[in-house]
Amino acid sequence: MAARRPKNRPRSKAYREFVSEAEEILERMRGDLADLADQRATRDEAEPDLVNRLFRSAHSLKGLAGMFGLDGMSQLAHHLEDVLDGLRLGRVPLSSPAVGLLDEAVTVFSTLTQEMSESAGTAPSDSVAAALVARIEAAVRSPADSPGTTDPVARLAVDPALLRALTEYEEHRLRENMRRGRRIVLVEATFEILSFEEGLAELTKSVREVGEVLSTLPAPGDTPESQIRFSLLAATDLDELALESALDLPNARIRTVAAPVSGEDGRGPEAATPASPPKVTHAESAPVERSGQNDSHSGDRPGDGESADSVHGPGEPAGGASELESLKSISDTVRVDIKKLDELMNLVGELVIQRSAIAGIAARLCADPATARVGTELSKLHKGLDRKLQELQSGVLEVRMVPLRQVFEKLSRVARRLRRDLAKEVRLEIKGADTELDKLLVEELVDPLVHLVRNAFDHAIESPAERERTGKPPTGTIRIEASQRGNHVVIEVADDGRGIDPAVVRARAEASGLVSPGEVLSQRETLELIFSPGLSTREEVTETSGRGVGMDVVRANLTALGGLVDVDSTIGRGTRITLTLPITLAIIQALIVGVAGQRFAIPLTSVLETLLVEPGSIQRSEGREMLNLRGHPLTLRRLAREFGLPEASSDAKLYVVVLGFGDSRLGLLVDRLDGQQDTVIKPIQGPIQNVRGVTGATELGDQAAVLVLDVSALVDDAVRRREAA
Amino acid sequence: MSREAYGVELEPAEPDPKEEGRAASHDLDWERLARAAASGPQDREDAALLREFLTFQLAGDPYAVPVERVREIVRMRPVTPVPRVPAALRGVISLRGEIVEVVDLRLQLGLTAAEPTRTSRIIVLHGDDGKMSGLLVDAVTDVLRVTEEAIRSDGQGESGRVAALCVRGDQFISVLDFERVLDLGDEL
Repeated sequence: MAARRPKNRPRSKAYREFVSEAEEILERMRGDLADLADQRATRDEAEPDLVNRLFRSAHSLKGLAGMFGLDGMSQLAHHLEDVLDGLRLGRVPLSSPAVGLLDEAVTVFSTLTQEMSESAGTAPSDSVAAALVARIEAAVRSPADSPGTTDPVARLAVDPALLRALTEYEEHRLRENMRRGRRIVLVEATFEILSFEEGLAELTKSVREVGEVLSTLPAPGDTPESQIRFSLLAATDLDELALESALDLPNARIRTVAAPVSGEDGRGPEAATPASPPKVTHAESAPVERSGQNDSHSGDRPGDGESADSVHGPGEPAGGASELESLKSISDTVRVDIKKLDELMNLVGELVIQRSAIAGIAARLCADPATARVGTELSKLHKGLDRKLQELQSGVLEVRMVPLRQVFEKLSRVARRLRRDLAKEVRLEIKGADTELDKLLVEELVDPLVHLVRNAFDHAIESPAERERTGKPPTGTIRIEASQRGNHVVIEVADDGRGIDPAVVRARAEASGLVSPGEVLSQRETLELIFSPGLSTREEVTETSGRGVGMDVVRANLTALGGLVDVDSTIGRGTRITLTLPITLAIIQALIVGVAGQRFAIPLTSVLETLLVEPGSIQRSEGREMLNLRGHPLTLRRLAREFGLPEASSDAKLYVVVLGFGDSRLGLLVDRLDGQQDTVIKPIQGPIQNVRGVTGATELGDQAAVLVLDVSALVDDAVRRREAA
Repeated sequence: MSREAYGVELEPAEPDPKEEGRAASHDLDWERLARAAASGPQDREDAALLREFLTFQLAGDPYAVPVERVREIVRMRPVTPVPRVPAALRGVISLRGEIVEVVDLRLQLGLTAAEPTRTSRIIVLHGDDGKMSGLLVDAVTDVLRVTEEAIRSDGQGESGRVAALCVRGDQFISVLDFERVLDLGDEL
């Protein structure tokens, strides 16, 4: 199809598709290239996964440009791919000037894509791309060092046929691991042919946990017909015994084929039992037949052109071929408008409500002896429906989940720009980029996180000179770490900068009237003041306290998402800001409580625990009701009193719902607990819409609306009243 | 009033609200009214001069809202009270999962309070922004077609919540100002 399209004029409607897809790829590449640049500065070898990812991106870019008949771009992408391929196979050293040109190439691509988008689909001229292609070619031609004299691979104690079956890339990884002195092992396992895919996947996974899987190959041998044998060539730092216990697989046999050498790097490890040395040609390994197998093995570089799939036989989940799987996955992806997912989610939400209604009817039928039989049948039906509905719900939710990587890549770019602009030495450490979150939440997180990183850069991390004076390493560190905890995702942004001085914050807060001079605040409460709008919007605070403008906005954003922000800081040591937010907003679990005949829903994410208390155990101080919660005073509020509802008789037992918002705690006194339920929170429509203490309402299946409490407002009010007292 | 003239057969006020599938009945009234509106008299005046109102009763007197604001009419159903709001905001109802506030029109217009009866209805209106609001009234009576000249913009009360008076024979019908009737003030 590509060939038939007129050059320089991609179909006008389609160009948008091209632009959006190209931008997505370039975005990814920019992030990866930045990481590569970091590695280039510090080590002499790039992380294989990173290079593979870049290679795949360049490959997709080439395919994309080709499909739209953009020859210049396609050529450039092809050369990018070549450089990266050389890099991953060890033919192009990381220090090569060609690698330095990659950044430039991506920039050129962006510019060209941009031009296309602005000119509504006219293909840009090829001259810029061609010029860069020439430079890349020149840079690649600079000679790379040839590897050592004797080939260590040749001395491995393995069947030469196996070595010949390795792809060039696999062989490169093998060499690389031997050079680093890791133990090379051959793990052989036999599986039932019917279930070998699962078994092999499991084995591969456990080997990966302790090392690198270099290649997965079917092993010849006299196995019964119903069984199949595989060999995994792997590199590990463990010794054979430790590996065996780590894998703990009864059907696997482990054999060391090259023991690690202790001591200096760079020398090949000794082969365990030198077998007849096979001749392995290094440069362009010729196509070879895999011994004893009838699936042919082409010598093509993996991912080169469309022949990628031919490297491994069909149905063989090859461990060493993850790059191939990913290549494939690019075309298996479907893009969906998030709005469509929202609609689906709403539909599921309505089904959930109707399901609850059915449960109610079933219960009523069961209660009446005359209809009990029908009732039982209906409730059986309801249980089945319930199960399927839960699957549907989690399925739809899962589709909405995206890894935080996208946001984190943006942060890396922001950090790079800041590093340049501010001339500060700062290292950005990112962990947990695979943590998944609702797409909608991920979008909303970008601004707060960028803000936090910029703040840390701007104000927290000192100049290199100042750092050295205080005995810190000259390079500052900002660590961003995401992790999932139950139904929440926690993201920490920590720096090792100067920290926040509570005294300065306090002084500012007093000056702006947020705090009265005599008021006693804990250090935590003082630090919390940085989130107050009155304080942080002032410019001066930025310079003196080392924390910037707009922390109130960060908190507001997080609160709107149902999340929390916490701050912890030590002067001279650094600051840690913790964001906690629910994995999804679409459906929340709620605790249903009852007060004076009315029900309220409390998002379960804010509920720490519930207690049943005797009225006598409630204590008072200055009229404020409190409870001794394991030695700590817990401020109590009666929901009935807060909302002007009739209170329960004074000798009735009460339930305390312990609410947590950030570090603040509040015990909410209610008459009853009515259990937990999945709810879809809806905004309230009408003239008032905003009621303090109420965040929305929901329907629980009986067609009655139930108000959902705004925990942050309730806790805030309680804290403020305490301060006012 | 004009009931005979249009042959409107309004929904009898007797249905037992306690069991009847509420979800199914919510737009029943409105459908009937709409049909009545569609089958008006043959000899109607020039269409351009016609305006249509939904009329209802409050404390024995007739009131009206423009038909184009009416989204649906629902039977009385449990209204969940909302704390910390003016008394005229009776609470919220769930309309197929959407949460809609209900204004007690008696209280909002300063009339004597009364508990809902079997004829009570909630008129769900939609605003310009697509958001819904509910008005609790004593009973829905009719769809009224009148010419522009039957509408008198003099003689409205001080609250501004009645935009005009519509003259039908010797009877005045108060036409409500949609915006102001939903204005509950800033008493939060």
